[in-house]
Amino acid sequence: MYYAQIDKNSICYAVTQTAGAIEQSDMIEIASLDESLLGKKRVGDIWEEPSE
Amino acid sequence: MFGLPEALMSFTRRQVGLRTDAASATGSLHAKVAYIAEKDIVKNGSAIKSIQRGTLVLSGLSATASISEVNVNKTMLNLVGASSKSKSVSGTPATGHHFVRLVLTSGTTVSATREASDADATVSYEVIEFY
Repeated sequence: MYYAQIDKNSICYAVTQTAGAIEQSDMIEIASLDESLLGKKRVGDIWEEPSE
Repeated sequence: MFGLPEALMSFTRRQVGLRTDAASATGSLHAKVAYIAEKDIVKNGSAIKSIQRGTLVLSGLSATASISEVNVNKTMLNLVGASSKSKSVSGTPATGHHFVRLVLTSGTTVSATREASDADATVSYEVIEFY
């Protein structure tokens, strides 16, 4: 399973391929180990580029 | 009266045992084979129980990433690599932000730390758990 982990500002700072499911509010299940999500902001169900 | 052939046959039967013998490390050959076959390493065809991989971005001096639970006594953590952009501080090249340490701080947490945070550092790691 793949997860993006977000900080208190909803910014993705980690992506992880795990051996099992994790149920944490800061862990969002994603489709692959997508490093392009690093630095992006989670808004609703969408990943947005961070504002400058 | 039993002769030598009968004695040898009896000995061999005791050593080989029966297919129905319970698994045992000290029993008959059948029992020992059953004992070995029950080992996770044999059942699963690998000594590795799980591999988890991740990448995290350090913007400060430390950060933690969550993983699914592992037995820390049977798990190794590998630093696959770390990268960071160059940075100068007051005209002097700063390098401390490149050097990152990783620690498996619990069965569910990988912690990354460094001594300087002049620029972000991206760290990749692997967590390999064995049976």
